Amino acid sequence: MTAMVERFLRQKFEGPLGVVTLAVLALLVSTPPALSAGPARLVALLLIASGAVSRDASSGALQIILARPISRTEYLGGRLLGVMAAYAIFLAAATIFAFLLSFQLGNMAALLSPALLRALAGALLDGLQITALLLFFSTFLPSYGDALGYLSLWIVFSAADGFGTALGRGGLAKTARTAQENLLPTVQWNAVLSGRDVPTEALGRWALAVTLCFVLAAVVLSRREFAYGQD
Amino acid sequence: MTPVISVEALTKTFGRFGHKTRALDGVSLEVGRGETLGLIGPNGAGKTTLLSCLLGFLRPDSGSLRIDGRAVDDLWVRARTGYMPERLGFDRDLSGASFLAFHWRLSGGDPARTGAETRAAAERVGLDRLALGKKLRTYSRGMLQRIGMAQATLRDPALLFLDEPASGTDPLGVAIVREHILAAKARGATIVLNSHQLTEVERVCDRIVFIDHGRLTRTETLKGDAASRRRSVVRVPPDRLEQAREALAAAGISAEPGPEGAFRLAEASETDVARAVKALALADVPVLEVRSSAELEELFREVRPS
Repeated sequence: MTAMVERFLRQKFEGPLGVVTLAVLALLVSTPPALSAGPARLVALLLIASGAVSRDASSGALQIILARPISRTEYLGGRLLGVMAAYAIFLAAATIFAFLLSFQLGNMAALLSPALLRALAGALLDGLQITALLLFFSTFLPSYGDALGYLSLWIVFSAADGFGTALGRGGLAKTARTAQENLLPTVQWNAVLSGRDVPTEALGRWALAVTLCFVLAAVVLSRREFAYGQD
Repeated sequence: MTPVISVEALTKTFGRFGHKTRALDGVSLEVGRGETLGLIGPNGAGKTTLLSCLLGFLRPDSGSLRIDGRAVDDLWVRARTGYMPERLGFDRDLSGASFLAFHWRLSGGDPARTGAETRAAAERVGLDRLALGKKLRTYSRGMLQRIGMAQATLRDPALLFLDEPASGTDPLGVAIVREHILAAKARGATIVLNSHQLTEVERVCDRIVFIDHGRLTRTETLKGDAASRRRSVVRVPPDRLEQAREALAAAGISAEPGPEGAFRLAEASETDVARAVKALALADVPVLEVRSSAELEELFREVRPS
């Protein structure tokens, strides 16, 4: 498993283009309001996680790996941990940038608080749920189809909710919201991690979504065939 | 010979809704322990499909596949397997060293010995430290084939599946691949080789099977007592031709004289060739060259006329 994580990190950070792009995004995330730049974090996560399985499968790397003594679920677990490790490095870089900026601005006190750690942990936990969903898509969609799948899902749920409300079709809006709450749950991690007002329902949905996506990804990958060559 | 690989009535179909292609059609074969089997056949015959089934990448529609009595995707089997694909377009952002280190560790190698073992494996295929430090995207086709061979033979696997291992390599690369296969044979590995390079196949394989349209159409044994009869050429100095002809005739060996002192022993077994050389030596006729060949190209034409 360590080897799988190490390989993922090398894949992401051995090329200069990937490192520069992630560094720019880390800089964006670190600018005030520090570590709350959700869209930049999402873009970074999509850059890190998308194509995690599909690109291995299309390049033939997956076939060579599967010829080794490693199960398909272990491989998937390695990819998940690899994405999380890379995302953690990205968040750590963003935090360092934030410290450097605060030091320049003479505003260190705002960063030296438990809220920062909670924000980091929350970003990682949000990232875990999105990664599990991306991995699931990546087991059957080609190339970067997983990122498109994730964004499409988000757009479809939001549009259905918006149209349903605007057109007075409560059923459609409610169905879209329910689907979104279960597949793409939003958890107030600051509240959860500080131990007050723990929204158990949202937390349960988050845990269920992560587990369901990973299990489905493992089932799809275990049943998939991988052709190699033409004859 | 104890069969390590057992394939029985294997069928595999691709496509859906009326556009079906039967890639494998009732293939049955056994590969003995320590045997090197060559898969021969035209493009699209089903050779890579058979290899993919043996490696567990594809699931057959029907039939059975066992390796050492176990399922092909059993991790015990995989721990003893080395695989080299034909196409090596993967992990292009990794350096050669990182690529080999990853496979060393994935195959269960001791992490403490990663550096030494991967460097040794690279050296065996003619890749130096400088090459190992470069990213795979900068490698030529021949270098990729070499590093592919190095990863396949890490930890000396008991089973080797090689898909066109010498494709795109220079003559030195071909020789390196051949040496690796022969070294694996010498330590008792069971090898399945898919290759269009018939001369190389003949040099390393004990047996070959012809596959065409998903069917196993012919089997030829190339080595050992059960070897199919081969066409052999014995060459002597042209001025000793008559003496050589008499010596061979006296030994009861039918030989057809050719140009430049060459005798062609038609359909000769390994024993016949040895007898011919002995007869010539006893008659004090110098033997300049002995060539023995199954002439696979000719067999290929017989099996699949163009």
